[in-house]
Amino acid sequence: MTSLLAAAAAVTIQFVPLEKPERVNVIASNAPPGSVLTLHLAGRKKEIAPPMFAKVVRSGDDLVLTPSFDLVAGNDYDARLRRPGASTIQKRHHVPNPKIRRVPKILTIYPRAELVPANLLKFYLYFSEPMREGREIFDLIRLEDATGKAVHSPWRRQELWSDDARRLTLWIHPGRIKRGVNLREAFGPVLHPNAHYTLVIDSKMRSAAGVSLGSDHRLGFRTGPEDRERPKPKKWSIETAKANTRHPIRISAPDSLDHALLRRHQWIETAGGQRVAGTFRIEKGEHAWWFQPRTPWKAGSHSLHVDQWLEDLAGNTPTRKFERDVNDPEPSQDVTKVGFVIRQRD
Amino acid sequence: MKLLSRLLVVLTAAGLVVSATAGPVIKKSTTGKPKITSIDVISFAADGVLLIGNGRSQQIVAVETGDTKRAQGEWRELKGFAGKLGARLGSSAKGVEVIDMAVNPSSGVLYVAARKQDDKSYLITTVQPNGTIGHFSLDQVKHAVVSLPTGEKAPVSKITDLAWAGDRLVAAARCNEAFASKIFSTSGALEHGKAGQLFSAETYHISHRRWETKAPMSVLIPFEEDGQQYIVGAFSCTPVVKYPIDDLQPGAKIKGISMIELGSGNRPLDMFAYSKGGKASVLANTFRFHHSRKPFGPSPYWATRFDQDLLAGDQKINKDAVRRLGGGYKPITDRIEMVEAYHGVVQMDRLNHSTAIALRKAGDEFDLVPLPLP
Repeated sequence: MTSLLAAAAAVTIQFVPLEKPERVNVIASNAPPGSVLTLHLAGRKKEIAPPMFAKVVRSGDDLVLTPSFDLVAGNDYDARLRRPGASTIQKRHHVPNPKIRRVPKILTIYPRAELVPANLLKFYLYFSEPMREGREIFDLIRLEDATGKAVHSPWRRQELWSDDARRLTLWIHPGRIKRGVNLREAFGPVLHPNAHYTLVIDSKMRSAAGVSLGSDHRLGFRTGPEDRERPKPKKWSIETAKANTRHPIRISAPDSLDHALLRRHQWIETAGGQRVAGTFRIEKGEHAWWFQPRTPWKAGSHSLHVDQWLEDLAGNTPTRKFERDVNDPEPSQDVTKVGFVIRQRD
Repeated sequence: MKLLSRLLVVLTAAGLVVSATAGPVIKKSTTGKPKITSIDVISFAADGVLLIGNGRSQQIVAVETGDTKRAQGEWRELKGFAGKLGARLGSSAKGVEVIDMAVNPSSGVLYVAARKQDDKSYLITTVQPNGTIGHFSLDQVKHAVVSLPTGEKAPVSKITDLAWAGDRLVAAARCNEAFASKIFSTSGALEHGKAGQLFSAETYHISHRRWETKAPMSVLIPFEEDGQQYIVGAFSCTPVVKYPIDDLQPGAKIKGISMIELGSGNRPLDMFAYSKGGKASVLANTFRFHHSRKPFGPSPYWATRFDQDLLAGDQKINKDAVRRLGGGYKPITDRIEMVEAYHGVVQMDRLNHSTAIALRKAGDEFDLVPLPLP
């Protein structure tokens, strides 16, 4: 009697949302033994798409399907239950788009200097949203010269995103920067000295959620001569602060430096070799920056330390030019130290 | 790029060998789900051990796939591969990006690393010769995680290539912010939780005629010559450079020897060694970023075969290295040749002594095709 009741029970398919709309379980209730439950992307074509990767387990009279990957917002899906000796049952499910689809924005582009060396090595693009990765991004970012003509193939086409995909490091192709390289000789440098350019990020660039920028983002800048000299910290000036205050010191350099590396490759030490905890704040143009100690300064000698990884905008470091001639001496690995004194208040 | 383990190719004249076999790949492992935050590149070692480069977490994960039984059947073309793969993820051809692929030499099954674009989830799939696409789940696998050294001043953010060199893991890596080239190596079999070593590399750029100190390596293969082990790497623009593995010592800066110049304006994508008809060759495919101005063929993706013995010796090196092209972009040697059948190939790996599996661009789609080795 019990089995007769079970056989008579209606066979149904149900989509059960889990913690978010893209995550569901599909339950085929009262699925007869031998039934096969699958989930398919529903398309415009008549043929059935291949089944999605999923785990299917039997739970009593039911089959429960859990997709191995989240569904995609905006898509339709068909769950199909093939039953032995009976017709296939199908149910469609729509995954809604989020109610709020945040339009991505470009927050900042580094370097922020209006004048950059013609052998500028890279840009950093900061986005408000995690962006969609993929090689096509290099076709969505272009450089235009003063006449609006696109510069031919300027990028080193290797994606370098931050972990959260909100920052893209965009390299100008080094083969177009280095002298004597056949690439530069054949196509010329990407940027010429003393010229105006515009970096254009195409409106079609999309966030991971699939929302595009909506409009082109444009950043104009000028180029100066090529910079093929090492930054020299000994020539930087330091405006010091008074002891027993947390007033920041200000460090300024003749040339702009790479803002991302600037935060990591310098530090302050006391005369006794202890690091001074604190934070750096970089001024627009990246040729001056402030350091504020976490606790008040102590009177006495201090030093600013800069290691060999800090680069200027052309990739030169304090110990090594971006292009080092074979006849140059081996570069030093030493950290450059610049001394300054914190004096007692008057 | 990809290494067919247990391969022993002997070159008669130069006495070269590629990648001799040694002991086990994994010495100490754990079982569970490895935490993988990104996949930059994959490759295979012996015994079905899958190597996964995860630069974002500064680690390489070696997974015992257990896939050591030969797959049956002839490989056939799989048209619209991206769409088929996307559908299995509930997405479209454009909703998925194939990142890398490698043939498991122990089984002949193709492994494909991909990224689902909407939620940035990474996955490994398998493709059988008959075209069946499966999900290789990493939920419960025997594996070893090898960390890249922490505390580096210029931390690695991307592993550009990796390979098992018979008795050790070698990898090339680059940084996000600094223009630095890193070579990574372990000594001996892999031990879960043990860190490898990281070295900076220098290379000589033929056209440059200067020491090019910081160019990141794009692809690499292990190489052995007269008992000396090397890494052979290819860089953008496109010198092929070898580095003695024995020079990989803590604190060392490794200088490479340029052996071949494949031509400017290209970025290497994949590279592997093979032997066919008694002739040892290397096949490399590249992306030509100046295709619109100076095309080498109908597609920006093109491939070149070169004689393996061009990698041998120390005579014709650096500024005297063998060039593929002369003035006017004309080929000047038949020892380095373009392979027209590989036009459009964006990913490839060697299947066996006669065939490669290639992912070829076809309009907005990609076809998975078996191609005869040149």
